[in-house]
Amino acid sequence: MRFWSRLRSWLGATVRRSRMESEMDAELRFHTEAYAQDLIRAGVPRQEAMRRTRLEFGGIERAKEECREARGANLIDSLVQDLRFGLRMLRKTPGFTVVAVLTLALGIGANTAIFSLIDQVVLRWLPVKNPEQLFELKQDFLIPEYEKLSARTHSFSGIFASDEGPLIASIDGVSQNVRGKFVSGTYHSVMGIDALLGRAITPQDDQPASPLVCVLSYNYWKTRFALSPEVLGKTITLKRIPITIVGVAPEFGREPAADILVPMATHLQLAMKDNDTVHIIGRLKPELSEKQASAELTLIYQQILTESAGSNLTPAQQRLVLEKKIHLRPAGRGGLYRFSTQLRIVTAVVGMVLLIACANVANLLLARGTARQREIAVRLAIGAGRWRLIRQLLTESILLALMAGCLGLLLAFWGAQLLSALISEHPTPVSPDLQVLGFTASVSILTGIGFGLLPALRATRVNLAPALKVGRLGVGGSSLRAVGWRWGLGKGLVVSQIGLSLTLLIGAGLLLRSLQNLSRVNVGFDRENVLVMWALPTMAGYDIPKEYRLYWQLLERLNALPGVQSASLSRLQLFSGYWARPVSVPGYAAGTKEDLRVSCNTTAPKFFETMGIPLLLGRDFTPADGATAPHVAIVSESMVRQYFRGENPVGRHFRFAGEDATGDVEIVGVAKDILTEFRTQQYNRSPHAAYIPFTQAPPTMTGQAVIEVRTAANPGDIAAAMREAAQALDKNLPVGSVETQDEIVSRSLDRDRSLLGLTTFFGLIALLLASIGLYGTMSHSVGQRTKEIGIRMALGAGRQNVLNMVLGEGMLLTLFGISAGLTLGAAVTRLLSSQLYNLSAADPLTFTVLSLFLILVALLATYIPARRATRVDPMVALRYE
Amino acid sequence: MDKQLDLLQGTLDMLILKAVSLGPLHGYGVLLRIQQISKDRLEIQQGSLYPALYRLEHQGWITSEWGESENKRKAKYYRLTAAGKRKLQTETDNWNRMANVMAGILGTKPEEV
Repeated sequence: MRFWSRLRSWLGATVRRSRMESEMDAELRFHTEAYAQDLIRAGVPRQEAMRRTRLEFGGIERAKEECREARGANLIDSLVQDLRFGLRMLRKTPGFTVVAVLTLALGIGANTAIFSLIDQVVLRWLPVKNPEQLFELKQDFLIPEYEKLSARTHSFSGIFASDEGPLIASIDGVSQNVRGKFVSGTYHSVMGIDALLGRAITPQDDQPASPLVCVLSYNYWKTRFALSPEVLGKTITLKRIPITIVGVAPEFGREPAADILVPMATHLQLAMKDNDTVHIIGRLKPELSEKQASAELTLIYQQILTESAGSNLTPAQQRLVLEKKIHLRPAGRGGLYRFSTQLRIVTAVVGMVLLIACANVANLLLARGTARQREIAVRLAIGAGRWRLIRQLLTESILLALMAGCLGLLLAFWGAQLLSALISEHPTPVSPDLQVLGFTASVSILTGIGFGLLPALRATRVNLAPALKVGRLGVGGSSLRAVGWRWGLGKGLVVSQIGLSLTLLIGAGLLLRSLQNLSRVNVGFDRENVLVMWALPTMAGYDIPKEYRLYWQLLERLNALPGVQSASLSRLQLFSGYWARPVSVPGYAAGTKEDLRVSCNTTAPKFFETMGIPLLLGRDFTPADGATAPHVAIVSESMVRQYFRGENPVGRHFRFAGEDATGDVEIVGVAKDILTEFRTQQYNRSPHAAYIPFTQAPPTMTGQAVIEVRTAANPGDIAAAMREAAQALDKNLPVGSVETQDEIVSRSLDRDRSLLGLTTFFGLIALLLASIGLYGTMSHSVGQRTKEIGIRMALGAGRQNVLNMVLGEGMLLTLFGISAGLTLGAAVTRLLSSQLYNLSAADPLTFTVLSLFLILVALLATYIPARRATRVDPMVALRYE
Repeated sequence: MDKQLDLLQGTLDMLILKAVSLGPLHGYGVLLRIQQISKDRLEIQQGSLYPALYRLEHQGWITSEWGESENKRKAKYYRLTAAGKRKLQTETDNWNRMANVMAGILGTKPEEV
């Protein structure tokens, strides 16, 4: 109650300011006139009455001021005053303002960009009903497993499975690649999403015999159908199967959101062949905890596994089943589940950039504080409170920071897209919202206080007398102490700037060395002069025999092309895919915890020749290794070393175990090892490889293949010919674009490069800022010591002595900074370890070289003021002051 | 006339509340009323009256509206609010307790210790 009446009174005083003023005037006038009249009535002469009135009332202006104060009217007044004055001061020193705003804008912008990204992909809740109740199971499941699991669990009030995949949608005869999403009939009801138009998908739609229907996402409806309501009832053809559009619904799935949603019942017909698992999300019952649900699901899952294994479960397998656990994690927020390492690194980098920017501007402000010493001394002398002055100075800093914040927002819009591409394979368009604006505003204000407070405190602690006397810092006892303190702070700031920039540079240096290591890695195949192109017959509804016919025909055509040395295909593209299959080798006793996986790829004949992988023993596949022929394989030399103790394995057998278990497979050849990607260890990839003929592949490995062609010269012409050859066989055959294998390998390092680029960019900016800081501090120090230097020179110090003295001081600061940077670097670069290839995060070479580099730059930055110091004329210096 | 007393710190607010509790008054009226009921024994700085009025109004203990004075001039009249009434009551109680305690202490004789 009281609060509201006060607020009303305050608003009355501030918003309707002029009315309050005129009322106050009228009231006081009434008082004085009434009093004077009373006096006159009591017989006092008019003149005397007026005099006494004025005398006894006291200062009218002061009373008015106190009245305004009582109603809080001055708060905004003085703020407006401070802002006006601040703006004027900033305008008076445009150089300082521009440098400070740009520096801060960079820091604030980089942080805003990161925050908007984190906000988008990590923090923001999905706009669905009670998103905090949504949990996902941390692993994927086969569809029958999902069906049993969902039927038996009591932990969820609702549960659904989903799976994403590419589809080709034909609408009115026009085909288009779209992102499809297979969802259980319960999807929309569990998520709590209503249809915008028509209806959502229902459990009824998810029955095998139901008519085929689909729901469009709002975005797809907008881009493809221009929000036309006539879309309902239209037919879309997916893989030659007509499906009716029954509704449009907003789509808030994980990234990337899908275009078309179809019931899970169509998964078998429509999904890619390798795609047989689904992702499960449930709505946890409010009374249950995540742990309870996880325990219940684990129990059910182990039952399901035991049942499907039947009675022939060995004790070892049983133990394996009992080790399977189901873990949950919240699924109600944006697309990414966690901070990826890259995101964390970038967050650390931008945090440091902001710190450096703050230190830099604080240093500039310190110098300005000295320049404004006289102004401040005058204001203090005529009675301004110290707190009032600090408020004024802080208002200026916050003003600076807010200007920088506005500019930073612009930088952030642009930078966030860049960063998004850096941390995610599916860049999400970043849309800044109120939260982001709020973040920028608060960061700006905090930054303003952060870099402004200390300089403001320093600047207002002035010894009045000498400051007023000479108009610049005197060299008297007490003010010399003040100088020492102030420049101690300035030097501290420079030291921290040098330290932080060294840390960033070391980060960049480590990433650079790691990338160099990566570029020198022998991948095991010849990446030059190979063109690759995806063919996706399953998306056009091909069955397996038809698919194989297509491949044979295509390879025949390609091998006949002039300029083509050899053409082949494989299910997986080298350096962009990995397929693990467990094996069992007769006569090989595996340890209990041993990883028996090999990386499997299906190939056509001439694959090894085309990719430049040496065949060490045995033979290549031939067309005779068909679907009905005995199963054969070519294995890698490391697999031979592991399972056959290095003996010639040709003619010997092994089996694929696991989901696509096979009978005996005869080894017909041995190939040299290759890398499936650069960071095989980090991603726990098996170094062992087994290649099988594509005609003998399990069904999950069919449906698509990457066509590979080794060219003699000028791959450009052949790229076009590859596409033409495919289109000539079937003009509806979906094919990808033609790329070189070199591009594929190189692209796998894109993120390393962007991370390097980003760190280098910010590292160099940091170095520039630190150099400016060092230069400024040293120049100032030399300026302050002009008299001292003059005396030294008068007493016989040579120019070289003076030069050394100043350089020495600069170097001392630099060395402090470097030791700080090395310590911080050693702690922070550990964050990078997972990104480094064959390189320790404490690589001594990187640390040393960059420290030396920084010393060199610092030497340059100190040299200019040092030279100026040597030009001090003793006579002039001594006469000064 | 007795010798005038300077106001104790913080008592002006109480005096104003008391004055307007006896009926709506304009600022000058408050001054006159206090002088009248104090029988001119208190010295009030005229200039300090208005900031106090503004402060009390800001805190919601009194409220004001424009009206006509005795000699037909526009004047701003202050009135006690319900909250002000309660405030005056508690302040009065506090004051009385304090005065009692102080009187007791100051009246202590050596033999009572």
